[in-house]
Amino acid sequence: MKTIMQNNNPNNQNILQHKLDELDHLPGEEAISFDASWQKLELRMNPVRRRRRNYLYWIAAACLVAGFLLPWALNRQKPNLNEVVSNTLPITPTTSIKSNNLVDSNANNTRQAPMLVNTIKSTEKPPFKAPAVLEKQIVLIPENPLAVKQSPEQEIIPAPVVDISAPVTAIVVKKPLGVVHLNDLNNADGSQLEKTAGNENKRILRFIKRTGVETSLGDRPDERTSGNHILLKNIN
Amino acid sequence: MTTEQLIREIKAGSVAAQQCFFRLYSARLLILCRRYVKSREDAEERMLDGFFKFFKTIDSFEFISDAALFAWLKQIMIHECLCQLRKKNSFQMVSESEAMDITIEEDALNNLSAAALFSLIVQLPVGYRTVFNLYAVEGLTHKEIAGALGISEGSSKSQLWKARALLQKMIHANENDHAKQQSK
Repeated sequence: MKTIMQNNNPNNQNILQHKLDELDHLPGEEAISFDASWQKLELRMNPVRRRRRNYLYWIAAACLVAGFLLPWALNRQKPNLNEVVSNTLPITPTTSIKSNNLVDSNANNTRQAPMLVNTIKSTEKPPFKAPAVLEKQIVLIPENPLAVKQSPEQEIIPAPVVDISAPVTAIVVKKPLGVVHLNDLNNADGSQLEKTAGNENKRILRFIKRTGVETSLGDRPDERTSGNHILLKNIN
Repeated sequence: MTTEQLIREIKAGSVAAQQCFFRLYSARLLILCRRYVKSREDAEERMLDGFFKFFKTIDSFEFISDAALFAWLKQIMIHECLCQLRKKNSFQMVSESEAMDITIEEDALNNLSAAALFSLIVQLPVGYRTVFNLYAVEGLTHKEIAGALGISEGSSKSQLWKARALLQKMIHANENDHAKQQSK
């Protein structure tokens, strides 16, 4: 452009050029607002300032995102799921069996009537353990909520030894039947069943008397009355 | 502070000197831009673009005289205006057969005041106005104008011819109006 301008045409009208170049305002028009124009020009000339402002906006946005993501990231660093479950879920009261009289399992004669086992249900509740993370109020659903771990402090008592070497026979009943251990009836003695108020026990007793079906631990009546019994209970 | 000192200060990075320089030249350069870009807002934008480029490239400028400085500023502003006109594709192509060599009465233009001349030029269509400005005011040749606007030399000549014819009509109309007013 510079070189182009230097090559003036022969019809160059210097008078017009001088006239128009010296014109700095137009009659009937507002003069240029220097301050407003300068502000516009300053904005164009200082892109660094605008970039800095944009940079601040980006920082603010990053802080917001970090604020949302931080709790999530902290939750991911928590102990494994099983520990959380054992700490957060209340442990259901378990039944521990205390054996008063353990059966002598060394008996050689399998036909010998085994000793009765009296069991006592204990419903001691383990002390409630506060959840490990109370502040966060995190509730995690375990994969298998029913699989509750037993606390290590709970007393583990061996199950009563029952001699099951003798063959067990049972008659086929049309109605569906369930197996109930005699120990659950509080007493092996049939007479005590009458003491229980539940109709269920009475029904079982009647069933025994009527059918005479018991575990065939022995053919003799003394064997039947003194040994471990497995009764067939009418569920319905 | 002389213009040379002002340029030195601007080169040193003084914002106050830039502002002072802007105040010194912005009014004249705005009117220059308005000769090419009719809208005042567009002309102001082009002027600001020109000043922005000037301040950006001022390190390569060596001050010789005020006239040279103003000529350089004018070149920058005209270039900005032409860029915008090219973007808008404002130039109407005219067949070369219509181009005729016509000379406008020199006295008619010389007798006009600067403001009156400006108002007449602004009334021209954009194509005529641009070619007339570049040829009659800035002193470029048709070849240079054709290169600057991206048109043929014949188109440049025809545009200039039409611009002159239109200006003559307008000047005669103005003279008739003046005569009527004086007779009344």
